[in-house]
Parts: sequence; structure tokens; C-alpha cells
Amino acid sequence: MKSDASKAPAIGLDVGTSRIVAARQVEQSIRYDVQLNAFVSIPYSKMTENVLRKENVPYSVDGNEIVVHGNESERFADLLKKEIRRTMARGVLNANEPDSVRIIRDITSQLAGKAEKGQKLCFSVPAAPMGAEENLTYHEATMRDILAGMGFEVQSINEGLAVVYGELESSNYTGIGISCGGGLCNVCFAYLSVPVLSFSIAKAGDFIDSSAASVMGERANRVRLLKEQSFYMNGSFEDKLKQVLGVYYDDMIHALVGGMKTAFSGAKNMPKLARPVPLVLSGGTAMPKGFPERFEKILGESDFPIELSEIRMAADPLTTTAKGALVAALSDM
Amino acid sequence: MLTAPEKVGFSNTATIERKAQNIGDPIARLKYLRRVTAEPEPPKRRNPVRYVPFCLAVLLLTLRSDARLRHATEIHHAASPSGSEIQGVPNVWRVEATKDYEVFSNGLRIENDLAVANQPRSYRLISVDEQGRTAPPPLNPMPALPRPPHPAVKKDLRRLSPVTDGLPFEDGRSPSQRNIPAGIVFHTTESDQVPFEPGQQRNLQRITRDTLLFVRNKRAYHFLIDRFGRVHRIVAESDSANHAGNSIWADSRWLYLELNQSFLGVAFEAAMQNDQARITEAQTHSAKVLTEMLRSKYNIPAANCVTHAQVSVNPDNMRIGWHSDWGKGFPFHEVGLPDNYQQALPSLYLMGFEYDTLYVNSTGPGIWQGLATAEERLREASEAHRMPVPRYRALLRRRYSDEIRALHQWGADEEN
Repeated sequence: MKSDASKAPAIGLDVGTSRIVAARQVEQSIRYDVQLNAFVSIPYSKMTENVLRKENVPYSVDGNEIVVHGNESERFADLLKKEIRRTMARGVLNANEPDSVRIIRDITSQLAGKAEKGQKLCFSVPAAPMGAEENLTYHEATMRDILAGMGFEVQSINEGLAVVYGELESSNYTGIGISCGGGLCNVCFAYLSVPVLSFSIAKAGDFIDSSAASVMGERANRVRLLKEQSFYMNGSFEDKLKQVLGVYYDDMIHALVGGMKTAFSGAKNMPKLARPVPLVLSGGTAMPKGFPERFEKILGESDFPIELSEIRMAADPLTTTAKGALVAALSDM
Repeated sequence: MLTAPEKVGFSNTATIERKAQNIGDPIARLKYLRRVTAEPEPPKRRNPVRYVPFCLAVLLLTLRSDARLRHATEIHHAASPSGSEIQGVPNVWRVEATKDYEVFSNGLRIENDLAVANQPRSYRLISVDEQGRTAPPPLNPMPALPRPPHPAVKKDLRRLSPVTDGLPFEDGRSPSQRNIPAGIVFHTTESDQVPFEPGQQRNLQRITRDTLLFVRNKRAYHFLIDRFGRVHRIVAESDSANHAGNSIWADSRWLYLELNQSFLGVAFEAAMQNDQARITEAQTHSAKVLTEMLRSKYNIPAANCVTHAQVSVNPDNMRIGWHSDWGKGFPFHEVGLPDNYQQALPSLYLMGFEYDTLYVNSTGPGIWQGLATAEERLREASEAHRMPVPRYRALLRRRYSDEIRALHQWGADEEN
């Protein structure tokens, strides 16, 4: 597997707040590798280190702590009843975690491997959040530096645009791509592959988890696990936590739709559209059953100014952005 | 917020779109689009006065004779692209809408007085790749995303697909669903026919009326084109109609089963007399403008506009052609479509169906070519999988059963 992967001419990397996904073309198919973009630190002991090494768990030693990162961090956090820590928050590097750069380098290195000569890598970057035009330059420059340091020819792509590239080839890459991730919901409207309008909102999966957790007195990590395993929209729940999740999901969708209406209504120089355009939803936060229907209902009530031909889920919501980044990298060759 | 207004002002978008649509490989298409949309606009600082005489001349020519203009249009259509060429989607918009009728920019008029609702359209997307791509891959292949196999699809069947041999998907993800039409199936009503002549006017009108009420009652089609060329809306476009129950079609990306949900049904008031439907010129014209409107509205590829005989199957005996209306003689060119009869039938090469002499006798040379291509693909695929054709076909049939079962289960889940 490793040798096949290293021969891939290009890699698409979705650098998300919650997960990092690498996509590479291997023969006729796309291979995806996913790691949780998170870590947990545990007290150092020789025995623990030996166990981790024996079990092939990715870790690093930092002073008197062992840092377990990637997918395994979730298991350890649950075992130790600790919250997992994030290298990123709200779509960009987490300023409150001093080791975030080192850990994200470890995770991306594990996913992307060692670069072949001239191997291209395209990674996703979020759009600026609405109402808080934060400077994304540091995040993008740092990621570029990390990846270039691994030997790749690096380029970046807006996350929403990657969704369009990953899903909307049938409409000539015209339409709206939305990625509902952990830290942000990213929206991009592209016209014949050109990004016309893009933005993000800071309400996404983490907002739902932490809000529900604070109401229920639960850990956000446990809320996330429950959300991903058994929550669905539009249900009438006996379970209080699911009720609460439904409330915050609705809040997020209203914020997303409100943002879209504001952005599209206020956009200048929009192209004249000959026909309705498709809208694709992707990202882990959009995956609960019933999400597209709920989104469509709220959007339908909002007097959204663009006529849509369809609202649908991406074929595989968790890997769409990485696929789009790969498509962008390959189209640049 | 990112805006790139300077980049979206590029002109000749229709040409760009048409050219892009002809590029099958998604990477090559994106490469082309990024190149042409990145090109700077030609300088516009020209003296507009220079063009006044030219504009006046054009205006005078176009105003000179309406008949002449129409004649020119007809010539253009007679020279419409042939067979293998994929046509661009024309731009048609709605001009007027009342509760009784709608009028569109290409002259289409739809009568709404009999329109009726049915079940809302919703169908599950099934990747062709997941089903086992049997056609030669494009030059620079970028297959559709592998999706998690449905639990009902057995492991050995999944192995058939050269593009799903990547990482397994372990988490349970709901299949994608869609609610806009993916294509059009053309039918004949097989209703009573009397000679189309002035003396039969009352009979013609009576039969049309009876036919309309019958198909409305059955929710049989989305549109019916009567013998006078009037287009009647029967079932709402947003809903499914009962026009092609056991049926199969596929395009380059998706496989469609039981097309009631995924395809629009357009019926001609006609019957396959002597195995040949006779339709009026008015019906042909209406079919053309209706097809244009639907393709424009839903971005329907030309290759997904096919006849009932091409899609109909009988799962009881695993033969195609349970219905054989428009098995030959459908005026694809006149309706503004390529000769889709020549397309390989997905029911044969993706799902393992077979055909019999009855089907061959009730269809024409166009479909026979499609049958031959499908058989060739089946042979190639069985060789690629290193198994004899009968064994490979048996696997495809099991796949069909599994997919149908999964589809019905999905439908039941949706209703719940």
C-alpha cells in the first residue's frame, strides 16, 4: 500500500479542524487515509511507551508527557476520561495549543508520507468567517511551510471550492459547495470552476458538541461520539441529549442559511445564470440522516436569491474536500 | 468573503460550456475550464460608432421576413449533430405561467388543466463504478468516489469493480439521494388511433380526451403530447410517475434502476402500428421544444434521453424489452438528440439481462447496434475478470437482485 501510494503523482489534503483526510489516485481508484486531527497527553512512563510502541500507536514524547495523536487519541481520551485536544480551532491553527504546529506536522507526515520528487500536494484552507474577517495568512503560510518542508510542491484551495471540484463536474463545476466540518461551515459558489463568492461561519460541529455538552453536563467528546453514531434529524426523541443536539443543529443550519442569504443577496458582479444551479452538502456535520431535508426546508423558507436545481449530499461527505483538492492538484499538472 | 468579479465577466460562456460538456474526463474538463476562464478579456475600448452600420444591417435583415427567419432555423435543425456527438443544453426559460398553461421562450406551451400530484420524487444514487465499470477507462481517469458497499452486496460482487479496491468504508453512511430528474423516457400511449384527417376531428378529440383522463388516473406519465401537438402536463415534474417500473439505464457516472423515480416520462399519443409508431409533425415539434426545456431546466445529458424499449426489463425471466414502445423509429434527430439507439444497453452489460428474438423482431437496426456493443462490453468485462461470460452474467444478475432489494429497503426506510 505504501509503495503504491508513494507513486501517486499528487495528493489532496483536507486539513479540517476535526479530521485530516489525504486522497491519492492509485491506479483507477482514489485511496483515502483519515486521521483525527487531535491529540491527548498522558503521563510518561517507560512501560506506557513500550505498550504504545508495541501496539503501533503514533505518539511522541514531550518532557514528562506522552502525546498520542491521530485516531488513537480518541480511544485514549475515552479510557482516561479526558477531553481530546485539538491542533486547530475554528478552521485554523489553535493559538491556545503551543504544540499544535509540531503535532499537525506529525499527523500530516503520517498521512502524506515522504514526497517523491516533484510530487504535488494541494491542501484545503477555510474561507474567512463572516463578520470576523480573521487573518488566515498565518494558518495558510504555516501549513504551506510544513508541507513544503516534507518535499511537496504545495498549493492551496478554498475548502468550499474543493467541494465543487469534488462533486460538480456534471454541471461544469458550476454550483454551490458547502462543507459542514468541525470548526466551520464553508460555502463557495463557483461558476465554470471560478470561485465567485466564498465565506465561512463559525458555527459547526464543535459548536453543537460543546453547546450540547454544557447543557447536559457531559464531555464534548462523548457528545460527538453519540452524535456521529446514532443521532438523526427530525426525530422526536425520548433522549434529552438527542433533543438538545436537534436544537443546536437547527441553530447551526439557521446561521448557515442566514449567512448564505446575506452573502448572496449582497454579492456584486454575480454572473448571469442561465439555469438553476446545484447545491452539494458535505462534511461530517452534514451526515446525520435528515440533514439535507432539514437544510432544504430552512433554505426554502429563507427567500434565498439563487434558484437551485437540487440540494443533495455528496457521494461521500467525509472525503469530498480531499477529493476536490486532489482534482485541483491533478488539473494543475 | 472572496469575490472574483473580474474573473466572472468572461464572455462566450455558452461556447465554453458546450466545449466543456464534450470533455468526458473530469480532470481534463476542469483543466480546460480553468484555462479558458483565466484568459484575460479582449480589450473593449472600441469606438461603438464603428459598429452602428453593421448593427443596422443585421437588424434590417432579421426584420425583413419572419418566414425567412423560420426557414433558416429549420435548416439549422436539419443539420443538427449526428450520432455520437453530445449536444449542448439549450437555454430555455419560462415566459408566462398561469394556472392553466405555461409558455416558454422556445415556443413550448404546456397545458396544466389536467396536472395531478403523485409521490414526491426521491431516488438513491448508485455509482456505475460501484457496479463494475466495463467500458474502457478514459485517458486520464478520475473515477467517481468509491462508496461503502451496501450490506446486501456480497463481497465477491464488490470485488468485480476495479475501482472499489481501495480502502474499505467501515462506517455506516447513508447513500446519496437526489430529487431532480436525471433523464427522459419516451413512450407511446398505445391508445386507439383513427386516421389523422379533417373528417375524423370529433373522433380524434374524443380519443385524446379519453386517453388523457386514463393516463391521469393512472399517473402514467409526466407529459403527454396529443396528436395535435399539444403538450399536457399530467404528473407534476417534482413527483414520480408510473411510466417505467422495471427498467434500467446508466450514464457515465450513475446507474438508475426503476426509472419511475429518476426519469421523466414523456408519452406520444400514438401506437406502434406494424411495429412503427406514426406521429404527426406537430408532435415531433412539441417533443423537440419540450425536450429542450426539460434538458435546460434540469441539465439532462442527451445520452439520458431514451425510449421505453431501451430501458424496459422483465426481472421474472431476466429478459429485456418487457415493453417495446419506440423500439425503432424514434425521431431522435428531429427532437434535437443524437441517435441514442446506438448506445449500449446497461441492462445487458451491467446487470446481466439477455434479449430474445421477440425483442429483436420488435426493434430496429439502431437498437441492434446497441445490443452488439453491450455484448462486446460484457465479453470484455468477463475476460477482465477472468471468468466465462455465463458465470460473469450470473454474478451481474445477483448484483441486480441485491441492488433491487437494497433499493426497496431504502424506499421503505424513506417512507418510515
